[in-house]
Amino acid sequence: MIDLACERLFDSIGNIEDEFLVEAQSISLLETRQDKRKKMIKYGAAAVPIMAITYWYYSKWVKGA
Amino acid sequence: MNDDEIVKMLFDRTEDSIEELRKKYEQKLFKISMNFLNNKQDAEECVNDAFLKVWNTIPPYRPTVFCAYLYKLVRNISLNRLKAKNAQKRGGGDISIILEELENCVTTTKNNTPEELYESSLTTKAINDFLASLKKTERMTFVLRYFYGDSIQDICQRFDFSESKVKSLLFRLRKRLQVYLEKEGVAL
Repeated sequence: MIDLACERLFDSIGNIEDEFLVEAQSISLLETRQDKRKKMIKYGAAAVPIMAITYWYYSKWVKGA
Repeated sequence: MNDDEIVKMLFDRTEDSIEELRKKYEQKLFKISMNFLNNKQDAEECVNDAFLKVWNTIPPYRPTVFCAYLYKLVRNISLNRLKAKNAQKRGGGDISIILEELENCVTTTKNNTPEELYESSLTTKAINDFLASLKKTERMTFVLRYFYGDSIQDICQRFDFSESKVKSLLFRLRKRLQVYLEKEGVAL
């Protein structure tokens, strides 16, 4: 019975909306890597001022005291 | 050539339309069929059957999204062939593993009833709603695995993910689908 139910579920997945099927086929590995690179640059860029402020705080208040 | 032009050629009964279809979709459809059948010859035959069906159904049928129509067509043809070949035991591709994975999502079972078709449409609607609620990457992973029958390795390559990440993501998605189907009162 579980088998039959699984097959029904699997068959129902076969009728999902067209847009999901197109979406899943739309991305390539290159795009995935480019997305990852963009994210790394974004977070990297955000990290620079945080590190600068931390360094400034450390050198002025912690080390200087 | 874009899909609308191919459909127009099909409506004009131009035989070159099949050649254009082959150029654009043969590899993709072959890959989908291979995912389920794991047999080159069978997969090629299924793709040819799909092209023949397209030729015979268009016109009068005009699909809303042509490529999705092709993907569904080749999936159904491949699964029917697999069922016919392995009436006793399942063998090809990843299908037995995929069905085992989906067992987690199934909690209640019912006998065949005349309302089966209606229930199936309710299930499809619930799955559509569930998919719409997911993040894009989650949804794509689910569709690649359970619609297209892609292997875990294929999905890893596609998203540049590790194998364990894909497996745990699929596990979480199945659990969430199980909860969602229970909440929606979908009986399978």
